[in-house]
Amino acid sequence: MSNNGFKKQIKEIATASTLSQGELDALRQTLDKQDTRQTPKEKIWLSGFAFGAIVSLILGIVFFNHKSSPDLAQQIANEVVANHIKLKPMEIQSNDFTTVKKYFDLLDFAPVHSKQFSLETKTLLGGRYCSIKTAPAAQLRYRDAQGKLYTLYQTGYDSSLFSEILQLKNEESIISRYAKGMEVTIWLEQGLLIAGVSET
Amino acid sequence: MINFTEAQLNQLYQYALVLCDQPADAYDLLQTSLEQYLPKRAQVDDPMAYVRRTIRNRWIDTHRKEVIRENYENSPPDIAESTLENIVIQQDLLKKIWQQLGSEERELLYYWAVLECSVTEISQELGIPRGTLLSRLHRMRKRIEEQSNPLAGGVL
Repeated sequence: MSNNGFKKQIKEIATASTLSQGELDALRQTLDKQDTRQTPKEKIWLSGFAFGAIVSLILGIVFFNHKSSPDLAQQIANEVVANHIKLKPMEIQSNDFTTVKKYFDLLDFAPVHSKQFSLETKTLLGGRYCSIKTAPAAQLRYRDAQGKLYTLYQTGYDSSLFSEILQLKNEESIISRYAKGMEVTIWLEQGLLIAGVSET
Repeated sequence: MINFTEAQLNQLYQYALVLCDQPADAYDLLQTSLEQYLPKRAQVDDPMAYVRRTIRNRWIDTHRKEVIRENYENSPPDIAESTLENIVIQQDLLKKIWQQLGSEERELLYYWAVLECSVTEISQELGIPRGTLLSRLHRMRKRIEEQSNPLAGGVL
């Protein structure tokens, strides 16, 4: 073997792994999203404006003595959309639901095939552990025939965490919220709180 | 959009993977490093080198104890810079050995083979004394030799 052989061999090994298309897309989204950040000068102006706005808001709240209740559904929507956009690598990759379900054996519930979430034309890609409002959750990723990605979050319904979602008294109710231009649907099914988000 | 080509993102990911050895960790490391780079992009001349340094610093932050131990465990012996160039080894075996090398050893090989840096350049880039790098090269060559042919104590 020539002297260059060892260097070439190392190069081959060190550059063998590449990012998946999903990971590349997620990184580009991160870069795109952050690209709209302001320059320091703009920041000073905007900080001043933001400060003024905050003071006005506080005064407004004090003046009207209005207490607004947090929209838990919106908070969940914000959280799952942020996760969906990040597109973190899946910890288990399989098209087989049973295989993926088995992977989540550390959860105190079992992920389910949702009846509300139509599986027509969708292929399960895999999943990873995550959380919704600090409750451990399963994140399942699907892709449809057009290549559109869907993420389904499932967590055990914990009344101490989720009882504020009053609309979810029964399993027929579905709440819909928007975050960052994406629709998030939240519903109760088989004792689980499920949130679904898809690319628009 | 900040201009990182697909090839550049892959190169940064590969560097993170050299340090972490776990694809998921490498991806997270790259993503957080890119996020750290963005607010400072206006002041950065060489984004690739900057993100690489950020990846390294973040990785060291989480592995500080191991890095310090590895840096100071041996004093540099008297060896030549060309110590790696005449290693001859089968690719399959090298792949196995690669997994067993420490992160800093893989990083050194990455700079040498992928970025094609000399030991002096690596020393400047990583802020590690040249003697320490040569020492590391020496240990690495010895390890590769031992693992590639434990009975003969030499390379194939």
